[in-house]
Amino acid sequence: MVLNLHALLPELTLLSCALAMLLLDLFVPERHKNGVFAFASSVVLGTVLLLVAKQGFNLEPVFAFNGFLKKDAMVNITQGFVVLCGLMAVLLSYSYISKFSLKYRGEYYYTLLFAVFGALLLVASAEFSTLFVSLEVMSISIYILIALFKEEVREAESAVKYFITGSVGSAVLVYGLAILYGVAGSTEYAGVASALRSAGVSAPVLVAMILVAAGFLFKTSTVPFHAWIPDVYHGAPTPVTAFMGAVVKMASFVAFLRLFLPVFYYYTPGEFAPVLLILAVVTMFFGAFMALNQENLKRLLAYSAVSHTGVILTAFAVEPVSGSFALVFYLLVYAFMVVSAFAMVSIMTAEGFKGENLEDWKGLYSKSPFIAVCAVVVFMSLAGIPPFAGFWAKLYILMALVKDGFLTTAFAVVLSTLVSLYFYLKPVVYMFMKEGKGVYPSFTLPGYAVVAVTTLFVIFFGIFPSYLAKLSLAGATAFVRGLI
Amino acid sequence: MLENLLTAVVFLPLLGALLVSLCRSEERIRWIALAFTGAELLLSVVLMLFFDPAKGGFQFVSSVRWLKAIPVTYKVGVDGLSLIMLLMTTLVTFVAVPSAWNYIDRRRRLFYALLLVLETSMVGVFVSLDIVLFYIFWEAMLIPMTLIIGVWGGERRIYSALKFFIYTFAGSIFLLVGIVVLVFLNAPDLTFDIQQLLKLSVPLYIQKWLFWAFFLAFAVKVPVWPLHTWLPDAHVEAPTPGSVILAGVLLKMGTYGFLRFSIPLFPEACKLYAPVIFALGIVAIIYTALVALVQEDVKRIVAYSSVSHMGFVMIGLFSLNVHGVEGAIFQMLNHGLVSASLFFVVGVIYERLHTRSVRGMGGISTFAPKLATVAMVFTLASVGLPGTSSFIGEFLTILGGLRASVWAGVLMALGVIFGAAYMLYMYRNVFFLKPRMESFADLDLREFATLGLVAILIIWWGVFPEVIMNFFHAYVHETLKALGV
Repeated sequence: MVLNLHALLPELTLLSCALAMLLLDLFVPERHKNGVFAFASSVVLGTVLLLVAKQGFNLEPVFAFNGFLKKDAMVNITQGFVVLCGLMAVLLSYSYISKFSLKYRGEYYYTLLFAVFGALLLVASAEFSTLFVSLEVMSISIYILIALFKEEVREAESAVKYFITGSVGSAVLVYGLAILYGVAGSTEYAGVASALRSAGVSAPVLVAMILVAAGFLFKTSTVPFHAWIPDVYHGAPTPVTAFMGAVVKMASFVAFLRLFLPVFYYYTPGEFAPVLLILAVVTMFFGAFMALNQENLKRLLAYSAVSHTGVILTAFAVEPVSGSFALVFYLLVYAFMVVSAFAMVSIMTAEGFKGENLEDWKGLYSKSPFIAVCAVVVFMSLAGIPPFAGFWAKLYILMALVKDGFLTTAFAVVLSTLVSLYFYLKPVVYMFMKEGKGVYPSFTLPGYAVVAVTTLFVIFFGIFPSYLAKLSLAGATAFVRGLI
Repeated sequence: MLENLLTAVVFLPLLGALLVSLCRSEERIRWIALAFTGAELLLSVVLMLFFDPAKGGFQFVSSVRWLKAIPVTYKVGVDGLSLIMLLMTTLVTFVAVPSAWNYIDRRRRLFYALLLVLETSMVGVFVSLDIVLFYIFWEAMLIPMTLIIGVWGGERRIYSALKFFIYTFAGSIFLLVGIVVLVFLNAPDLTFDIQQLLKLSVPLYIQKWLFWAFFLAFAVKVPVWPLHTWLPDAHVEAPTPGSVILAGVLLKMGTYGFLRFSIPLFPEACKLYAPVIFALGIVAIIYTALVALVQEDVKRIVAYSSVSHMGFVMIGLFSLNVHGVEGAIFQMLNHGLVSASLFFVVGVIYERLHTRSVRGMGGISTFAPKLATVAMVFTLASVGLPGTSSFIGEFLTILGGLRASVWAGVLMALGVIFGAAYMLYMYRNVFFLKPRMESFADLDLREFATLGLVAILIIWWGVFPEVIMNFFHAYVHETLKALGV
């Protein structure tokens, strides 16, 4: 039994601090809660970020809990960005909660920390039960986060919808995992992979794989498992949506990749490619076309998330190193863009002013040129227009696809960005080219800072993508090398 | 030092944009913009003075490794073609500032910041020697241009701005995939360096595909008939400085792309598909000239004339002989200046009369002799009168077309007649006939100086074309020699 708790320092710190905050909740007076908890959560997440960074980007994997958790450069990088996005979500939540009355303030912040904790474990898990438990820690925390704002019917509906569909997704996943365990007699990825390879292809394994894939495709909102996403994104309080959009997507995709490559890909190399590519192409176009007519920015961004999922999914079909590299790079860039976009919606929202409809953004340029220009940057980056970070994400995916000869898919990717361009231009049109009533909420500093920082990231990594690319490449090579 | 000068030329306007967005006084912004575009013009003239026209190949090359994961570099340099395009860009942008002086009366800070950002990306397109860098500038340009059309444009500005953006982006996505395919041709060594790529010999079956992928991107920009439909909308709805830049610079990016990439990279495909291009070019020349004849909106007439004139350039390029190509390059420069100035003139009239319809005009020459005079120079230059620089360009492209195909030459000459018809009709209807207005203020000093400067250049280069053509003789000979023509 090798516990190797040292490798889990960031996760354990986060967990103990979250538990401490659970107690702290009893002693802090109600009116100070928002400030105290936001501050405490920021400090905790900042510390965890430092701890993750301190672990470095080692090429050799480190195991903990007897190989149940496996940490290599890819895990560390993803964890770092998960924590960073969590931090942004905390700052956004502070602004958001100070605008809306929320009864459960303490609960909100430590549940958010638990969600981050679940995501951290999820990307590091190398074993079925750890995978499932961490996935549930993350998901259940998010059900709670949405449901805490239950004053509005919309949020309650959203929470229930996400809970029911999410539970079905998890159930399907765990059923698949159970079958795999039955065939392979092991729950660790490495053990399962070697057992399956020696056993050869059989019907139960294929069924299990389809079930497992379906579970993950649900979490990543791939067509045909996407139906929950617009209502949930729309109904959830915007800081939670930002967190979901960035962290859940990033963690689920990375966890899927880390299960997919050793267990599925090397089992039948390349056999899954056509199926995945068809799903990917359908997903990217479905999302893009559905987003065209949305008048609500949160729904628009939800469908755009579906479209991006399709693009990211193509990375699963290509050769492991270039695929993982493109995937990680895309996810990191995408996380910033999504947090930024939802942060804009979040700071535009106030009591009595929804701020999430395109109509509400009319003439925003005259009220706040800064936010308007940031929005242009972020939405153009989402559309993959250079010189912003989104362009490089798209380029790396295209290069990975073309390198492996998937030219048709590459064309599909660029065509779907063409369709997307139309709805990404919509906010720009409303902000700059239409006159508004001139009534907007006043922006609070933390929310403003999140928008500014994430937009700066999008610009900075657009001009100097090397830093991010180097990280992603280190992660991809470390991960793939650890498999062989 | 000269190497860094080129980088300075690329990024100086960006610095200007930063200053403009930080400047407090709305009045001073215009002067800052004028100073920066003027400095750009001066710098490009300085580059021309130091450029050695006798040498072929790229000069003032400087490169810095940009990305680690893939060999993308920041690499810039100019050859004869780029240099002329650079001159045209800086000149047209310098003209655009005075054309915006009074026309843009709200959100000036945003406007001049966008204009300067636009200049950076336009200059970047012409001097990039890395294909990804080229693509970045090529696409980045769309955002400021769309905002300029959409914020300060006419009634249907949003529709036109979106149409412009989506049309051009639709072309560019094929270019992006084409670029990715192209860089993998040299596998396992990826190269994004244009100088290296130009040495590639691409297999014919790949050439055929890539030719059309690149064609779509460039043809939308030129625009080649039938991909031109965004142009009349964008030109008509754009504010005057927007039209000036669109007609002056943006259209030439397409022909520049053909010359820089399609012709040297896919020579066999170009020869194979030249008849198609010829046919499209002829249709553009004749059809859009006929369309221009029946327009009542002055801006529309000038816009359609652009499509028609770019047809000459396309045929000149794909005639693949010395006369045709040299004429096309020279015509690119001329058309940039002439159409930009014509849009300026139309803008001046619109500012005073608030109409663009020919019916609302007439007899302006009685009130505004200065305007009528410079407009006469530009109209005749557009028609291709000997003594103006357009004559040289048009004549050479027709000669080139004639040598490649007699029919093309004959039909192009027919197009010249139509061109003369609609331009002269327009001139008569606007400036002569009975006056339809009580008063009309003549050009002020700012407008007169700008338009006068361009008029002088057009006549100077019409009489001494070698001043300009000297710069790209070496380039054209080298390119055509590589084609084996």
